[in-house]
Amino acid sequence: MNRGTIIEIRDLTKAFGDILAVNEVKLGILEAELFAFLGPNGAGKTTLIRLLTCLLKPSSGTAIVGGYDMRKEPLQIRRMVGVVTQEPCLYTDLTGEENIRFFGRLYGVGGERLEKKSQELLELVKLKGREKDLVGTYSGGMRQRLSIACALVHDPRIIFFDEPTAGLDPQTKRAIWGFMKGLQKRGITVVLSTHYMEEADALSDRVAIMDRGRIVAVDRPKRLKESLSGVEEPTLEDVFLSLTGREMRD
Amino acid sequence: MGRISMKSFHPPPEALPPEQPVYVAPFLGMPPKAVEVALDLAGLKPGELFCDLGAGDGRMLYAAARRGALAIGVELKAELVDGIRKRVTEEGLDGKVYVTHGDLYRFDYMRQADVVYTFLDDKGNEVLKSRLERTLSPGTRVVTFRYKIPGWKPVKRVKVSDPEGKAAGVLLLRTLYLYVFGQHVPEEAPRQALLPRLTTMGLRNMMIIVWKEFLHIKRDRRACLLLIALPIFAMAISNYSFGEIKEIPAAIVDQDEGPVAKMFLDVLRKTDTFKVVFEGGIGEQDARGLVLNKTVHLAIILPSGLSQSVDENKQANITIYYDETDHNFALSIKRGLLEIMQNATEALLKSKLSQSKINLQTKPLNYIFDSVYGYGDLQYINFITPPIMAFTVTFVSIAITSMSIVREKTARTLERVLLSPIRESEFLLGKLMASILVTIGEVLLILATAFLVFQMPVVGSVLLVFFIGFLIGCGGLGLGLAASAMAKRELEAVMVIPAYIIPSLLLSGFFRPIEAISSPVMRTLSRFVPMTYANQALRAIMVKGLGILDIMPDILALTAFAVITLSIGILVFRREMVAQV
Repeated sequence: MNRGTIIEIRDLTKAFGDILAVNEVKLGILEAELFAFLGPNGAGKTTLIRLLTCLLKPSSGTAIVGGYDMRKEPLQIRRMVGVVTQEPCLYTDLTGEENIRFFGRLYGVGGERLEKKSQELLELVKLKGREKDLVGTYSGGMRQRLSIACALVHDPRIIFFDEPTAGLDPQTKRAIWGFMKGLQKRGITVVLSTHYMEEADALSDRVAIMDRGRIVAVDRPKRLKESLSGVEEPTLEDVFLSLTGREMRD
Repeated sequence: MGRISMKSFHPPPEALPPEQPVYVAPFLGMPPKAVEVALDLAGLKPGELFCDLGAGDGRMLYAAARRGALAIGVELKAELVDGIRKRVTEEGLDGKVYVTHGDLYRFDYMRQADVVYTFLDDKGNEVLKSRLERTLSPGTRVVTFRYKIPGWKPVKRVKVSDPEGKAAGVLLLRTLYLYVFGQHVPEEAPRQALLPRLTTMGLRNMMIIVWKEFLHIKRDRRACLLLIALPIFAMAISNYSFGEIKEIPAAIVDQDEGPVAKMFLDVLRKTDTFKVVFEGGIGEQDARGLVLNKTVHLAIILPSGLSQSVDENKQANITIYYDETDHNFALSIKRGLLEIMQNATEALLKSKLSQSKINLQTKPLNYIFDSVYGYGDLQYINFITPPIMAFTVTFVSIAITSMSIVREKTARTLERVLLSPIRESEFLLGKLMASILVTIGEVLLILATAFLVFQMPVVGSVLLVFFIGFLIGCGGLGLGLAASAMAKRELEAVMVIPAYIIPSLLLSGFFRPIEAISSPVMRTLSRFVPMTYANQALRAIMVKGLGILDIMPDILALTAFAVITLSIGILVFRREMVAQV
């Protein structure tokens, strides 16, 4: 089935002083796609996500997210996207439930719907029974799960995961992969930024490899690997290194 | 070409039973002319997918199919659905028109549509709006008849005449609205707006932040304790430490033991200024020693032959040993002793005069003290309580704002909040509103403690005291905001409290009126200390009983300070925090 383009990035550029963190990126992300940005540190993945979620203003170019121009209607875009930040960024002196409620209310979810939704999400991220505890008492994995619940409370159409599994144990990592897959099944567009090859390989429909603010390749992981000649059983890492070079990054 | 190819098209379900049937609008037929105008307006092209939400008798569907589009519709009324299906077969439109029996709000097929058409009323469109916003893809054209989608901006509108009007003999015009999803929202004011537009949405967002801030305060036991204890503590100190000094411990050495000494001691015992803790059994040097080692604050030596000297009309000297270094005590001791001396002399004169049978009822000379302000008998406590109030409010407002800002900083939650559809200004004002509410609570607590519990005197209006307290609090709020937004760590934010309070303490006329500051430079400097105006205003109300017009300069100065610090605070917050997210 054909799917509409839900995010259309048009020559998006973000400069910090002389540095072009995102440099004329053009890209379309399809509805209900699981799309990954893969790149070394400093490639511009996080900046790109911050632009698409309207946290930053572009220096030039724009993006149409879910029908809204990010330059003109940032609030409309924020209403339909959810973001799981790299660090959980939660209020540690509030309980898990209070965190979900607070973020839900910010998105205009309230009353019975919020009550129902927060119970459902606590169940989903397996924090039922701990919802009345202060987040300060949660482990790193629990916090990341709660962070996912907070990002889903308003039923976003698009959800961004910025390095969601960095520094987490394999069990939690797998669980978070499962969440992402599950969201995609429900028709939600999932945009992931990661520097873990296996994560991009295992999860995504398409991968954009980023380097120095530019997208150097976009395709299905399989096709990217096939494109690499002269290597037996190439991995995404081989593709990645061949495209971005072996030089270390700051 | 549409987004969907005929080959890959899966027809929509036959029926989509509603959870609870909701009639959003009655079926009203569209004028035949309007049907074609609507399709022209939408620019429907062959091969595109046309979706009618609330298909009625299907007239839009047939017209769309005749133009070569694939037409799908949803209709809640079973008999209308049956009618459409029958007619589709009759007209040979099978495979070109599909209709689903069910609730249009649950009809997902509009997701793929190129053109969505609907004819609902205002209420129906309001409900549909959120559904469309969640479902449609950019570029989808939406056409509505007669009623607009609230909040959306049509790219084009066309008027058609309604034959209904013709029947009634008038020209009745109806409007068709075309929206293009993605261009359907009027441009919003930039996020940078310093003050949010005071919409219900804005207020609601602010209230969410206020609710959250109170949750934080509730969780922070130490902060709660501080908030409740500090005002009570400050007022208690003011009351007990700066109130009139009473029951000063005294030692008496009575070497006279005659009637005059007895009379003097009787008068002394009647006042509560002194409390005799040593009497008899000690000599003059012992008594002096007691003062030196601070067992007593003063020793009174009534010399031998005192009564005799008085009898012989000679001057008699009573020696007092006391500690001049403690200024406050020394003043109270002298004042108390003078009073006793006057009373004792009076009593003595009376007894002498009664012996000589001359009746003298009145004192030859007397002072009448009449203060030009509200009441006389001004004591140090009246002078010191207003600045203590002002400083307590300042301290609390700086602390509560700093805590609230630094909390977001350390948890890095600001980023997450700014990702949500709340304006930065709404977030900040919500926080300030919470701080203002706490500050108001503090001012009320201070006033209750001072005036209800300790019954401190206030001549002027308590309401005015409250208002000044509120202004002082706003200044502290701005200062706390600026300092904490700039600070890298919590400690840096807290450091502003001593940095601000110590110079204020010294230069604002806290301990003595600024007129009494000796250096002219310092006196000028004190004019730039905001607390000077706070103290002046509060003293003017509480001690002098002045009204709002008399303290206008102070009110203006305090307001200016609050406006300046809040503006700087907001600017710093945006430069240092929002931009750093």
